[in-house]
Amino acid sequence: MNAPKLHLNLLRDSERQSSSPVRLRVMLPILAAFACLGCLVWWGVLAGQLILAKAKVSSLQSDLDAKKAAHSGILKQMGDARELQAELDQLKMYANGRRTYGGLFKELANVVPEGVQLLSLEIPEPAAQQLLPPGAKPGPTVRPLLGPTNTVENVALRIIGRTPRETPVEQLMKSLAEPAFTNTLVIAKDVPADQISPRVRSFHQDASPDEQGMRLLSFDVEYRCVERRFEK
Amino acid sequence: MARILLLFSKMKLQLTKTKTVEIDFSRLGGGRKGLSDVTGVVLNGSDTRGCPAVRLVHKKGGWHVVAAGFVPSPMEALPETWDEANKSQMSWSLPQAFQAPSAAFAVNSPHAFTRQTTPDALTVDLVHTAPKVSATPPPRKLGVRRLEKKTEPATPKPSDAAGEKGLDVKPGVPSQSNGVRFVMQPLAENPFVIQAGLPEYQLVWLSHLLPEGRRPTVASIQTLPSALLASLCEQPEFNAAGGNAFAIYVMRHSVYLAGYKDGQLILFRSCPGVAGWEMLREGVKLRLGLDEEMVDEILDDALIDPRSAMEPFVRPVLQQLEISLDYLRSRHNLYIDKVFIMGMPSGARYWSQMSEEALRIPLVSPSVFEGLSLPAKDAELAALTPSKSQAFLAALGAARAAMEDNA
Repeated sequence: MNAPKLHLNLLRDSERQSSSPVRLRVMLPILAAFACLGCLVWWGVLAGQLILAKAKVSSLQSDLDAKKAAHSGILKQMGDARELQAELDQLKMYANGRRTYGGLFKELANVVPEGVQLLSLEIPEPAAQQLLPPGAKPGPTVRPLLGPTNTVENVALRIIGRTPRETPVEQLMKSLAEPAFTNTLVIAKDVPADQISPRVRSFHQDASPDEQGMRLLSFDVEYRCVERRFEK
Repeated sequence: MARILLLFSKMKLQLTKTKTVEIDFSRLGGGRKGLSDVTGVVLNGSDTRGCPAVRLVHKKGGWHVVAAGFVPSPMEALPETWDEANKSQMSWSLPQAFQAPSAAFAVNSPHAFTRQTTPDALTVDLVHTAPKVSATPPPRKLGVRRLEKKTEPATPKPSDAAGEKGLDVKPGVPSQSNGVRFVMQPLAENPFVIQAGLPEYQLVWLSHLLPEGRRPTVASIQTLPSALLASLCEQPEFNAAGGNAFAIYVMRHSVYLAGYKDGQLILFRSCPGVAGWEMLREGVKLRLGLDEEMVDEILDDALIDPRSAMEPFVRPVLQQLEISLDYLRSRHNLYIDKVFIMGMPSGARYWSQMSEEALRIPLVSPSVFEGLSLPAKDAELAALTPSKSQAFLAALGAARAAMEDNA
């Protein structure tokens, strides 16, 4: 059996009234108004925040523009400071790499035996280092490097003299192996041949035209000095 | 404007590809929502005890009568003119037992009409009848809707359909023409429709009779005959017959016949030239020389046979019943063997005897509350005889019809 359709309602839907004490037709507009008001307040807050953010952005932008000049000055100064610091570091490395031989020569006078005549005491100048930047050709516009590219430099003390016999030379070499000299001179015996110090370069009959020349011996001994290190 | 609002009254939200939620905002106000707790009230029923009222509740698949009784009538009578409708100060309230959320009125008005007709005749009848029952509306006053003043159209042709005349007549939707508001529902028998109408000023008055914000408020206004039609819906014998039944509604001043097929209304007629039960009681009283108090007792008792006094009133009804049953048999091949007689305060058994003698069809007159659960505390209601319960027939029908969505 189908559901009957027997309701002949003459009342329009628009005439229906609510029995609820809180009338929907009153509450709905109020709620809608509150919702609209809430949206407006929310949008207002958002708009305010947007305006504040924009003001902050413009303020920061102007602040940034103002600081840009100072910043470039600071950057330039920092560059200069870095350059000066590099120069200082190089100077410090030069200072650290400096070797003094005054004490050596002063002590040497005390240990030279009577039978030894020193003809020459020489520390040969090492080969000049490359101070140009890699690939650069020498010229007035090329600025050389502040320090050497090779941080280690080896020099040697070359002693040339005459002696009537071998013993005074051996005595001299024995004296030079004492601690007073080892802080300047390197004594290395049990090493490869090219690194031995001292190294007797020559020891032979003196060929100078002297009366007693036929009885004198000429010697040439080379001591490696402690290497120069251009480091901090 | 209303159409624009209607466009926005529904919103579809597609949650997923297959799941869509539809929000009907018009239902938020309870406008078309199915009602589950309604008080049916008969207004202007000429009953000295007051207005018959029945509070009907539908819950857990069952129908429950919460209260039934007579409520005091409104202080003011149903208005007869626009002026009366405007002047009245309406503040009517029902007793606490009847304070359901909604009320359904069954209105007995001399200007009301309920009839079976065709869609073509719908507009024609209205145009001709409207000036008789409606007056030109007065200037607008607070709380009263002004009706549009319409010029009377030229005599329409019967072939003019309602739609062609510009009237937007839809089933179940009230329309208005010349101060009369009417509503129609198509019957199960095409192309007939059942149509009911009331003057606009009475409807405006009725719609404001119960104040807003207090229980109950008006949810349905029906004419008295149309309210009767739903009163049989929950009758066990009606349902046992599969909804194929016939009903004779004998009211105070008129008699209505209604045929049902599969529970759907298929035929509705007002018996022409037939008086209601009040005239029948008067006739019996005069013929048998009875006191007013004795009439109902005699009509319900077997001591004195009042059939000779009843015959002038009953015979025309039985003739109309025979015609109607023949019509249903020949036109719809519908053989009715269950005929209800409802609405009479007394004498149903004699109606049945006379029907059985004349047509060999007994008439059934059950209590209107058959098939409904009654309140356990109300012993008086439970003890009502079928005859006494007939006073609540229209009120129950009005409430039941208003809860049609819950059927």
